[in-house]
Amino acid sequence: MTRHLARFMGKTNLLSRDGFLLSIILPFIIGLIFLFSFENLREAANLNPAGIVIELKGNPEEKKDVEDFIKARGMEGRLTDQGLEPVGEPGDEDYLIYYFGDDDVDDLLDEGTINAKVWIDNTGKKMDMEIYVPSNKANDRSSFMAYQMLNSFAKTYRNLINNTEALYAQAMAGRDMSSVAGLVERAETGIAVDDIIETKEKEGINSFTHYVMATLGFICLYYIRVGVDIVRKNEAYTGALGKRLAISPVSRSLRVFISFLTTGIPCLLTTYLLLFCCWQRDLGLSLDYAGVILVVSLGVLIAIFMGMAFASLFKLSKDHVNVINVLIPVLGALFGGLMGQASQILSTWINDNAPFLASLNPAGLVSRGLYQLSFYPSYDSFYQTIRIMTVYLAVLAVCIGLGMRRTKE
Amino acid sequence: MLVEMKDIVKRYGNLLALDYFDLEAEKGEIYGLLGPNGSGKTTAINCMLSLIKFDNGTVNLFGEKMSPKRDDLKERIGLVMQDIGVYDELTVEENITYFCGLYISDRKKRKAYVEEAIDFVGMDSHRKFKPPRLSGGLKRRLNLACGIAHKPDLIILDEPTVAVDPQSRNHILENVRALAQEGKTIIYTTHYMEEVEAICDRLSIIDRGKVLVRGTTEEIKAMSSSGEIIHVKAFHLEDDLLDRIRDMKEVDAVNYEPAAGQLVVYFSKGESGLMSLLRLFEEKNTDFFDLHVKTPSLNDVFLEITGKELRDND
Ligand SMILES: Nc1ncnc2c1ncn2[C@@H]1O[C@H](COP(=O)(O)OP(=O)(O)OP(=O)(O)O)[C@@H](O)[C@H]1O
Ligand SMILES: [Mg+2]
Repeated sequence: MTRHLARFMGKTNLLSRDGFLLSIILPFIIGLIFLFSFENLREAANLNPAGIVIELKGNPEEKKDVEDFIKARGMEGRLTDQGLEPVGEPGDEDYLIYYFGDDDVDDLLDEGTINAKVWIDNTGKKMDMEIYVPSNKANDRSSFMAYQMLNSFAKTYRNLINNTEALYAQAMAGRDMSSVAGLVERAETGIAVDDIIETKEKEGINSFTHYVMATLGFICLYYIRVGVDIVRKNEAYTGALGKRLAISPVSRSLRVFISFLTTGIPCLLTTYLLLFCCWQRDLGLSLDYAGVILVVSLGVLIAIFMGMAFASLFKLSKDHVNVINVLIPVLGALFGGLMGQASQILSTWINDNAPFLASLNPAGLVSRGLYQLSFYPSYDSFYQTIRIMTVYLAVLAVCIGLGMRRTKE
Repeated sequence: MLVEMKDIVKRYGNLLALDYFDLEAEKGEIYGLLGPNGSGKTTAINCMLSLIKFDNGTVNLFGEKMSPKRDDLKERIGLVMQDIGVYDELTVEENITYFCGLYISDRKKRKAYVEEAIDFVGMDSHRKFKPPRLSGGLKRRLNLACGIAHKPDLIILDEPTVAVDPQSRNHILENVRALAQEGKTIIYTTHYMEEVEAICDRLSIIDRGKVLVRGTTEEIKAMSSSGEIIHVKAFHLEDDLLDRIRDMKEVDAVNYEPAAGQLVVYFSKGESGLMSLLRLFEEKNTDFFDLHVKTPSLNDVFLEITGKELRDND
């Protein structure tokens, strides 16, 4: 019986317009469109290094630290009427075109031919940095990148100075120095520029990778509808075909289970195909393949289970289903930070103030898990996310079980 | 009793779809449910098969209480729904195989059953067609085949012949009768009284969820208070002849429209006046043509009880 059901349910699902188009082709196409539009974003950022003019003050040694850092990330430029002209051909690694000097560049800023003006004052103990980005360049990715880099450079620099002071204080107090010897050495040789660059690179790709991850989460939401259909097509109230199945001697649980297998597996495969595209195009997804597949699979399953639980607990008319179809992706995109700045603020706010809410959104869980895989130093928080998802899945399974006992007209 | 429905009440909000509905059918009989659109036929079937919940009453099938969990009872039931329930993605043969396979696990047996079902509805030349390519009537026939391929003991047919051409309809009706002869029990709903008269052993006439009358066709027709009605076309009838007809002891009423030459004679219940009428015409040497005799139909009974037609003439 199981085989018979699987054969025909699989066939009807794959051949039916709704089953195939809406649950497999559509998520895939939408996924590709989103992912590739982000890819263009990234390439645009790479092609145009940010032009910045830096006014540097302070003692020569510390000035040199700043210069070294900046030089490692970009190429020198000459100030002309057209803006900053690089002395050579900037490479992929050149995020900045820099110019050190106290020239007046207000006009260039107004015209938008350079991205920012930076004042750095190293006279005191702390490094003071002020960055001016003109409003016409505020949304420019290059400016954003430059800002991120400089800002976090300044932060790290301050930390190191503070740490160094603390270490010397400990040494003076006669503590054992061996354990902190490394740090002292590092502090003395100045800033480990490579470390900062590494951090910076992660932060630099951060925002567009964030989009990729949010997209993958968002795709999961499409499968809620698949879950709804899995249950609905086995219910007598949905029409003649439902009746025909309901009057057969095959229990509803078995029918729903086989529907789930025959529909759910293609959904998973579609998502894996998207993942493959992400890896193929190097869209910043973690290379921990098992981890990525685990978190995405759980996301797809949660979405399907959500739809199933919903449809098995409530009698859903066609209108209800249409509302779900329209509303869920929009809400998901909104809360997932995929709909412009306001939605990014919203998703950040929810993450900070109501993490519980964020955990209810499978899209949020997926992108969170992917983010943790890519950027967190240890697996602890990733495992935590996986645990949440597993519990979530179990709760939904119980809801489905309860719903399965109900006869809905 | 193979089917026993007692005091079924079903409400849709304010609408009383079934009003203390009863139905009893014995093994091997064809039981008709006759009623106009919206009278509750389909609702009654849905309640019988536990496809919907109802507000009151009990349903016993094969002598046992029916519920959605009774897979053992469901195994013995075949339903042919009013709405077509087939997969557009599967061919005729695959559709029948799929639904038959829900009941019959044995492959060989299933294959034989599917062949028989295709034969039953006469769709051998369409077996590789997918439903979107089938005409409305052929779809109905496929729908029928899907419901009965597994050879159930109790077959429920909900208006199986709507939109089917007369030839195929007769084919289906004959086969339904053959099924009953094999000992299958059949519940047959329709609003075509000719079908009921042709094949049903017993029937209930229902309206607004209520059973108005039940019994055999003959019994129900006998309930009508009117007798034969004779229509005849004759022009220039003499008043004398009309008076003689009116004076016949069997005649209740006479209606003559000279312009149309249409004479209608109503006889009282249980009387047959055709011969006497013909003799009168002969005596007066009057030409007539297009004569036909109408005995009271189920429709007349329905009309008498409810004051409305069972259906529009079609
Ligand atoms: N799901 C429903 N919700 C509300 N009312 C319903 C529902 N199903 C049926 N009804 C109402 O119940 C009444 C009986 O409907 P039913 O379908 O049983 O009639 P029927 O005798 O089968 O008619 P037909 O000959 O048109 O098939 C109708 O008035 C119909 O409008
Ligand atoms: Mg009906």
